[in-house]
Amino acid sequence: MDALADMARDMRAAADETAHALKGSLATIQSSIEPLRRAVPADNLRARRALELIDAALGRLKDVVDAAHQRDCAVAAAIERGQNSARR
Amino acid sequence: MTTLQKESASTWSNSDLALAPSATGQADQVESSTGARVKLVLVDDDADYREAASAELTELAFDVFAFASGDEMLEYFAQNNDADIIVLDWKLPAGLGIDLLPKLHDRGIRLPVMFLTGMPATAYESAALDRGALDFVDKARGVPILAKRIRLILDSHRRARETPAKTALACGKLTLRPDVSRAFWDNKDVSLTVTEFNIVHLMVSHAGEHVTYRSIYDCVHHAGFVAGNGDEGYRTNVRSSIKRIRNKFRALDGEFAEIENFPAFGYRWRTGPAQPA
Repeated sequence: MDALADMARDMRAAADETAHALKGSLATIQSSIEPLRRAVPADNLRARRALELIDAALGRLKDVVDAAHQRDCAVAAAIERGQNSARR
Repeated sequence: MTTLQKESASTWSNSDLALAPSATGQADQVESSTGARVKLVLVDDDADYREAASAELTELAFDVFAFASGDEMLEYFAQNNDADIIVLDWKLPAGLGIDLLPKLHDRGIRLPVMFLTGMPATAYESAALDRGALDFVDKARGVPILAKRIRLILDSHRRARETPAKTALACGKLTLRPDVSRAFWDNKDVSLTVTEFNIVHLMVSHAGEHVTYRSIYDCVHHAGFVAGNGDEGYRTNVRSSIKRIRNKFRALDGEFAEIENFPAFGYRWRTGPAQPA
């Protein structure tokens, strides 16, 4: 039973770690785009479109990271619940 | 501090970027109602994020002092530097950013603290808020959102500081009238300056408890209170302000002994608690 509890805890810690690392890198990309956005002239349509695509991809990646984190935490919680009911 | 961090701290605060007007005028859009540049301490172990976020915040009218660890930040404050707000990464190499809150508190640093995180979990959010953080922002929401939330926090903080409760306070022979920044001892005007009044108001609001040198200093240093030399410089300034305040009370009442010193920590207004007058 303790092995399961350890597993749930490790799983949550790993989920936090991964989300934190990915969001940090995504945040760096997002902040680093801002000076480029200011530098690209309004009439450079190809570069403007490229920035839009990066924004959209960043948005999707953030959603994926959040969803994966929530799923991992939900599984960890389910393991803990199962363990508690087995104890009773 | 390593050379790199020293460089990043001074680069972002003194660079041309910091002084140049924003090319897009974006800085003007997020200026707070007071329009002042904000001195921000950022602690994040990710050097790339530190660089990118510092540059964007600088663009948005912040003077950023960025550090890779809590210890470097504490060292910055130990050298008598100040700031308007602290932004801490949730996870730092030496532990959680939240564990720095008691360390700041122990050193008498009562600045608003915000957390940056990569995790959406509300459990952490409530832990941070319960332990005294003022806000909790997902890093990936971007610097403009972060900047807006910082301005909101600072504006409300400033309003709270600039317009102390308008209700008069009574504490023994003392009456405080915050609406006119005047203190009366036995119904006689003590003739305190506004700064001296603010110090007395701070002590009386916590009557019976000690207030630190640092919080006395913080309650007035925006009003032109200049730090002295060295680590202990501000204590010397606080001591001389307290001395002036005591002398004004003693001019009215030779027996006056309400302000007690707790060496190396601060002062307290002896009797309390204060009641609405």
